[in-house]
Amino acid sequence: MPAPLLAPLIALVALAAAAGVLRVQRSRQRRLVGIPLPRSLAGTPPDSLPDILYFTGENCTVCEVAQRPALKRLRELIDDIAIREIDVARDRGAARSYRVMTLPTTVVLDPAGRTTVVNAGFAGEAKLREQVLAARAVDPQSAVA
Amino acid sequence: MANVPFDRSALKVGQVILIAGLVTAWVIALSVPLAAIALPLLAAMMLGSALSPATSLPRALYIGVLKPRRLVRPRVQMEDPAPHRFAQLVGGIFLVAASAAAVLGHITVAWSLGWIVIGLAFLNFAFDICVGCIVYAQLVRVGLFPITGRSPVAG
Repeated sequence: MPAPLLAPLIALVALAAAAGVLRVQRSRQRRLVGIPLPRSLAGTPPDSLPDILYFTGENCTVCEVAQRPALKRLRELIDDIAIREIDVARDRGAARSYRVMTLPTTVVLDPAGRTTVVNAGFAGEAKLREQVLAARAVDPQSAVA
Repeated sequence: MANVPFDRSALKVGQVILIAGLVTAWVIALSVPLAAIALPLLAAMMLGSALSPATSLPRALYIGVLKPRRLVRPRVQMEDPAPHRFAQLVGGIFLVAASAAAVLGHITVAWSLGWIVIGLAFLNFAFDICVGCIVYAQLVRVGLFPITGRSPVAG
Protein backbone atom coordinates (compact mmCIF):
# COMPACT_ATOMS: atom_id res chain seq x y z
CA MET A 1 0.00 0.00 0.00
CA PRO A 2 1.50 3.39 -0.93
CA ALA A 3 2.49 5.35 2.19
CA PRO A 4 0.41 8.47 1.44
CA LEU A 5 -2.81 6.46 1.25
CA LEU A 6 -3.23 6.56 5.01
CA ALA A 7 -2.72 10.33 5.15
CA PRO A 8 -6.39 11.42 4.77
CA LEU A 9 -7.40 8.99 7.51
CA ILE A 10 -4.66 10.24 9.84
CA ALA A 11 -5.65 13.84 9.13
CA LEU A 12 -9.29 12.99 9.81
CA VAL A 13 -8.35 11.42 13.14
CA ALA A 14 -6.23 14.47 14.06
CA LEU A 15 -9.02 16.91 13.15
CA ALA A 16 -11.58 14.75 14.97
CA ALA A 17 -9.33 14.77 18.06
CA ALA A 18 -9.07 18.58 17.90
CA ALA A 19 -12.86 18.81 17.50
CA GLY A 20 -13.19 16.49 20.50
CA VAL A 21 -11.00 18.74 22.64
CA LEU A 22 -13.07 21.76 21.64
CA ARG A 23 -16.23 19.80 22.46
CA VAL A 24 -14.91 19.01 25.95
CA GLN A 25 -14.03 22.68 26.43
CA ARG A 26 -17.54 23.58 25.27
CA SER A 27 -19.20 21.22 27.75
CA ARG A 28 -17.03 22.68 30.53
CA GLN A 29 -18.18 26.09 29.38
CA ARG A 30 -21.82 25.00 29.66
CA ARG A 31 -21.19 24.11 33.30
CA LEU A 32 -20.57 27.80 33.92
CA VAL A 33 -24.35 28.40 33.97
CA GLY A 34 -25.26 29.73 37.40
CA ILE A 35 -21.72 30.80 38.24
CA PRO A 36 -21.58 34.39 39.52
CA LEU A 37 -19.60 37.15 37.85
CA PRO A 38 -16.01 37.30 39.13
CA ARG A 39 -15.35 40.25 41.44
CA SER A 40 -12.84 41.74 39.04
CA LEU A 41 -15.55 42.16 36.42
CA ALA A 42 -18.41 43.17 38.75
CA GLY A 43 -17.58 46.86 38.89
CA THR A 44 -19.23 49.27 41.35
CA PRO A 45 -21.95 50.01 42.24
CA PRO A 46 -23.78 46.64 42.01
CA ASP A 47 -26.39 48.03 39.64
CA SER A 48 -23.68 48.45 37.05
CA LEU A 49 -23.65 44.68 36.44
CA PRO A 50 -23.58 44.04 32.71
CA ASP A 51 -26.19 42.02 30.82
CA ILE A 52 -23.64 40.69 28.38
CA LEU A 53 -19.92 40.06 28.50
CA TYR A 54 -18.51 40.30 24.99
CA PHE A 55 -15.14 38.58 24.57
CA THR A 56 -13.20 39.78 21.56
CA GLY A 57 -9.66 40.15 20.27
CA GLU A 58 -7.64 42.44 18.06
CA ASN A 59 -7.32 39.98 15.17
CA CYS A 60 -10.88 38.65 15.28
CA THR A 61 -12.58 39.38 11.96
CA VAL A 62 -15.94 37.86 12.86
CA CYS A 63 -15.98 40.03 16.00
CA GLU A 64 -15.66 43.25 13.99
CA VAL A 65 -17.62 42.32 10.88
CA ALA A 66 -20.54 40.47 12.45
CA GLN A 67 -20.68 40.51 16.25
CA ARG A 68 -20.08 44.20 16.91
CA PRO A 69 -22.82 45.31 14.43
CA ALA A 70 -25.17 42.72 15.97
CA LEU A 71 -24.53 44.15 19.45
CA LYS A 72 -25.16 47.64 18.08
CA ARG A 73 -28.52 46.47 16.69
CA LEU A 74 -29.25 44.79 20.03
CA ARG A 75 -28.79 48.17 21.78
CA GLU A 76 -31.51 49.52 19.49
CA LEU A 77 -33.82 46.67 20.54
CA ILE A 78 -33.11 46.92 24.28
CA ASP A 79 -32.42 50.54 25.36
CA ASP A 80 -31.01 49.87 28.79
CA ILE A 81 -28.82 46.91 27.91
CA ALA A 82 -25.32 46.96 29.40
CA ILE A 83 -22.60 45.25 27.39
CA ARG A 84 -19.07 44.93 28.70
CA GLU A 85 -16.40 44.28 26.08
CA ILE A 86 -13.36 42.26 27.15
CA ASP A 87 -10.22 41.89 25.06
CA VAL A 88 -8.99 38.36 25.81
CA ALA A 89 -5.35 39.39 25.37
CA ARG A 90 -5.68 42.20 27.93
CA ASP A 91 -7.73 40.19 30.43
CA ARG A 92 -6.67 36.57 30.22
CA GLY A 93 -8.06 35.92 33.69
CA ALA A 94 -11.57 36.76 32.56
CA ALA A 95 -11.12 34.64 29.43
CA ARG A 96 -9.99 31.71 31.59
CA SER A 97 -12.87 32.22 34.05
CA TYR A 98 -15.34 31.80 31.23
CA ARG A 99 -13.27 29.17 29.38
CA VAL A 100 -13.28 31.26 26.22
CA MET A 101 -12.21 28.92 23.42
CA THR A 102 -13.13 30.92 20.34
CA LEU A 103 -13.90 34.48 19.38
CA PRO A 104 -16.34 36.07 19.61
CA THR A 105 -17.86 34.67 22.79
CA THR A 106 -20.81 36.34 24.47
CA VAL A 107 -21.91 35.50 28.01
CA VAL A 108 -25.43 36.48 29.06
CA LEU A 109 -25.86 37.27 32.75
CA ASP A 110 -28.96 37.47 34.93
CA PRO A 111 -29.65 40.54 37.13
CA ALA A 112 -27.57 38.97 39.90
CA GLY A 113 -24.58 38.57 37.61
CA ARG A 114 -24.89 34.81 37.23
CA THR A 115 -24.16 33.16 33.90
CA THR A 116 -27.27 32.00 32.07
CA VAL A 117 -25.81 31.13 28.68
CA VAL A 118 -22.46 31.15 26.89
CA ASN A 119 -22.44 31.63 23.11
CA ALA A 120 -19.23 30.33 21.55
CA GLY A 121 -18.94 32.01 18.17
CA PHE A 122 -21.15 34.62 16.54
CA ALA A 123 -24.59 35.20 18.10
CA GLY A 124 -27.12 37.40 16.27
CA GLU A 125 -29.15 40.16 17.88
CA ALA A 126 -32.42 38.19 17.79
CA LYS A 127 -30.88 35.26 19.68
CA LEU A 128 -29.15 37.56 22.19
CA ARG A 129 -32.34 39.57 22.74
CA GLU A 130 -34.24 36.37 23.58
CA GLN A 131 -31.45 35.25 25.93
CA VAL A 132 -31.23 38.63 27.68
CA LEU A 133 -35.00 38.86 28.18
CA ALA A 134 -35.07 35.30 29.54
CA ALA A 135 -32.16 36.12 31.87
CA ARG A 136 -33.92 39.25 33.15
CA ALA A 137 -36.99 37.15 33.94
CA VAL A 138 -34.90 35.13 36.40
CA ASP A 139 -35.60 36.04 40.05
CA PRO A 140 -32.31 37.48 41.37
CA GLN A 141 -33.05 35.96 44.79
CA SER A 142 -33.47 32.42 43.51
CA ALA A 143 -30.70 29.86 43.31
CA VAL A 144 -29.91 28.59 39.86
CA ALA A 145 -29.63 24.84 39.49
CA MET B 1 -5.98 47.04 13.02
CA ALA B 2 -8.34 48.99 10.76
CA ASN B 3 -11.14 47.57 8.66
CA VAL B 4 -10.48 48.09 4.96
CA PRO B 5 -12.35 47.10 1.80
CA PHE B 6 -11.35 43.46 1.49
CA ASP B 7 -12.24 41.34 -1.55
CA ARG B 8 -13.00 37.85 -0.25
CA SER B 9 -12.91 36.42 -3.77
CA ALA B 10 -9.12 36.66 -3.81
CA LEU B 11 -9.10 34.57 -0.64
CA LYS B 12 -11.44 31.98 -2.15
CA VAL B 13 -9.24 31.70 -5.25
CA GLY B 14 -6.29 30.93 -2.99
CA GLN B 15 -8.27 28.29 -1.12
CA VAL B 16 -9.35 26.60 -4.36
CA ILE B 17 -5.75 26.54 -5.65
CA LEU B 18 -4.55 25.15 -2.34
CA ILE B 19 -7.19 22.42 -2.03
CA ALA B 20 -7.09 21.40 -5.70
CA GLY B 21 -3.28 21.53 -5.79
CA LEU B 22 -2.82 19.40 -2.67
CA VAL B 23 -5.45 16.82 -3.60
CA THR B 24 -4.11 16.48 -7.15
CA ALA B 25 -0.54 16.19 -5.91
CA TRP B 26 -1.56 13.56 -3.36
CA VAL B 27 -3.31 11.46 -6.00
CA ILE B 28 -0.22 11.63 -8.24
CA ALA B 29 2.03 10.93 -5.25
CA LEU B 30 0.36 7.54 -4.78
CA SER B 31 2.36 6.38 -7.80
CA VAL B 32 4.92 9.18 -8.31
CA PRO B 33 6.41 10.17 -4.92
CA LEU B 34 8.09 13.22 -6.49
CA ALA B 35 4.67 14.86 -6.60
CA ALA B 36 5.45 15.86 -3.00
CA ILE B 37 7.22 18.84 -4.57
CA ALA B 38 3.76 20.45 -4.43
CA LEU B 39 4.13 20.76 -0.65
CA PRO B 40 6.96 23.32 -0.61
CA LEU B 41 5.54 25.10 -3.65
CA LEU B 42 2.16 25.58 -1.99
CA ALA B 43 3.90 26.46 1.28
CA ALA B 44 5.70 29.25 -0.56
CA MET B 45 2.40 30.42 -2.03
CA MET B 46 0.75 30.56 1.41
CA LEU B 47 3.67 32.26 3.10
CA GLY B 48 3.80 34.78 0.25
CA SER B 49 0.10 35.53 0.75
CA ALA B 50 0.63 35.85 4.50
CA LEU B 51 3.48 38.32 3.97
CA SER B 52 1.59 40.93 1.97
CA PRO B 53 -0.97 41.37 -0.85
CA ALA B 54 1.89 42.24 -3.21
CA THR B 55 3.44 38.78 -2.78
CA SER B 56 0.18 36.85 -3.06
CA LEU B 57 0.08 34.67 -6.18
CA PRO B 58 -3.66 33.84 -5.91
CA ARG B 59 -4.43 37.53 -5.59
CA ALA B 60 -2.31 38.30 -8.65
CA LEU B 61 -4.12 35.57 -10.59
CA TYR B 62 -7.51 36.87 -9.45
CA ILE B 63 -6.79 40.51 -10.26
CA GLY B 64 -4.83 39.90 -13.46
CA VAL B 65 -6.87 37.12 -15.04
CA LEU B 66 -10.04 35.96 -13.29
CA LYS B 67 -11.64 39.28 -12.34
CA PRO B 68 -11.13 41.09 -15.69
CA ARG B 69 -12.55 38.06 -17.53
CA ARG B 70 -15.47 37.99 -15.07
CA LEU B 71 -14.71 34.38 -14.22
CA VAL B 72 -14.89 35.26 -10.53
CA ARG B 73 -17.05 38.06 -9.13
CA PRO B 74 -15.75 40.41 -6.44
CA ARG B 75 -17.10 40.05 -2.89
CA VAL B 76 -15.88 43.15 -1.11
CA GLN B 77 -16.49 43.58 2.63
CA MET B 78 -15.13 46.02 5.18
CA GLU B 79 -12.94 43.86 7.36
CA ASP B 80 -9.52 43.44 8.80
CA PRO B 81 -7.30 41.27 6.57
CA ALA B 82 -4.98 40.32 9.45
CA PRO B 83 -6.81 37.14 10.56
CA HIS B 84 -6.79 35.82 6.98
CA ARG B 85 -3.05 36.41 6.76
CA PHE B 86 -2.70 34.67 10.12
CA ALA B 87 -4.63 31.66 8.82
CA GLN B 88 -2.43 31.59 5.70
CA LEU B 89 0.66 31.77 7.90
CA VAL B 90 -0.58 28.79 9.93
CA GLY B 91 -1.27 26.85 6.72
CA GLY B 92 2.14 27.80 5.33
CA ILE B 93 3.87 26.61 8.48
CA PHE B 94 2.03 23.29 8.33
CA LEU B 95 3.15 22.84 4.72
CA VAL B 96 6.74 23.76 5.55
CA ALA B 97 6.63 21.07 8.23
CA ALA B 98 5.11 18.67 5.68
CA SER B 99 7.91 19.50 3.23
CA ALA B 100 10.54 18.86 5.90
CA ALA B 101 8.91 15.52 6.71
CA ALA B 102 8.93 14.58 3.02
CA VAL B 103 12.64 15.47 2.66
CA LEU B 104 13.41 13.31 5.71
CA GLY B 105 11.55 10.41 4.16
CA HIS B 106 8.44 10.51 6.39
CA ILE B 107 5.98 10.52 3.52
CA THR B 108 2.90 9.54 5.53
CA VAL B 109 3.55 12.34 8.03
CA ALA B 110 4.08 14.81 5.19
CA TRP B 111 0.80 14.02 3.49
CA SER B 112 -1.09 13.81 6.80
CA LEU B 113 -0.08 17.41 7.46
CA GLY B 114 -1.08 18.24 3.90
CA TRP B 115 -4.51 16.72 4.42
CA ILE B 116 -4.96 18.67 7.68
CA VAL B 117 -4.36 21.84 5.66
CA ILE B 118 -6.90 20.63 3.08
CA GLY B 119 -9.45 20.02 5.84
CA LEU B 120 -8.96 23.43 7.44
CA ALA B 121 -9.00 25.24 4.09
CA PHE B 122 -12.21 23.41 3.16
CA LEU B 123 -13.89 24.40 6.45
CA ASN B 124 -13.04 28.01 5.74
CA PHE B 125 -14.00 27.89 2.05
CA ALA B 126 -17.31 26.04 2.40
CA PHE B 127 -18.58 27.13 5.81
CA ASP B 128 -16.63 30.33 6.55
CA ILE B 129 -15.58 28.66 9.77
CA CYS B 130 -12.93 30.88 11.24
CA VAL B 131 -10.33 28.36 12.36
CA GLY B 132 -7.97 31.30 12.79
CA CYS B 133 -10.32 32.74 15.42
CA ILE B 134 -10.27 29.47 17.34
CA VAL B 135 -6.51 29.10 17.10
CA TYR B 136 -6.00 32.75 18.07
CA ALA B 137 -8.24 32.44 21.15
CA GLN B 138 -6.44 29.27 22.21
CA LEU B 139 -3.00 30.84 21.78
CA VAL B 140 -4.01 33.91 23.80
CA ARG B 141 -5.47 31.65 26.48
CA VAL B 142 -2.17 29.85 26.97
CA GLY B 143 -0.28 33.14 26.92
CA LEU B 144 1.52 32.73 23.60
CA PHE B 145 0.20 36.03 22.21
CA PRO B 146 1.29 39.30 23.84
CA ILE B 147 -1.13 41.70 25.45
CA THR B 148 -2.21 44.42 23.00
CA GLY B 149 -2.82 48.10 23.59
CA ARG B 150 -6.45 48.11 22.40
CA SER B 151 -8.89 49.86 24.71
CA PRO B 152 -12.31 48.34 25.49
CA VAL B 153 -15.52 49.98 24.33
CA ALA B 154 -18.08 50.58 27.06
CA GLY B 155 -21.54 49.19 26.41
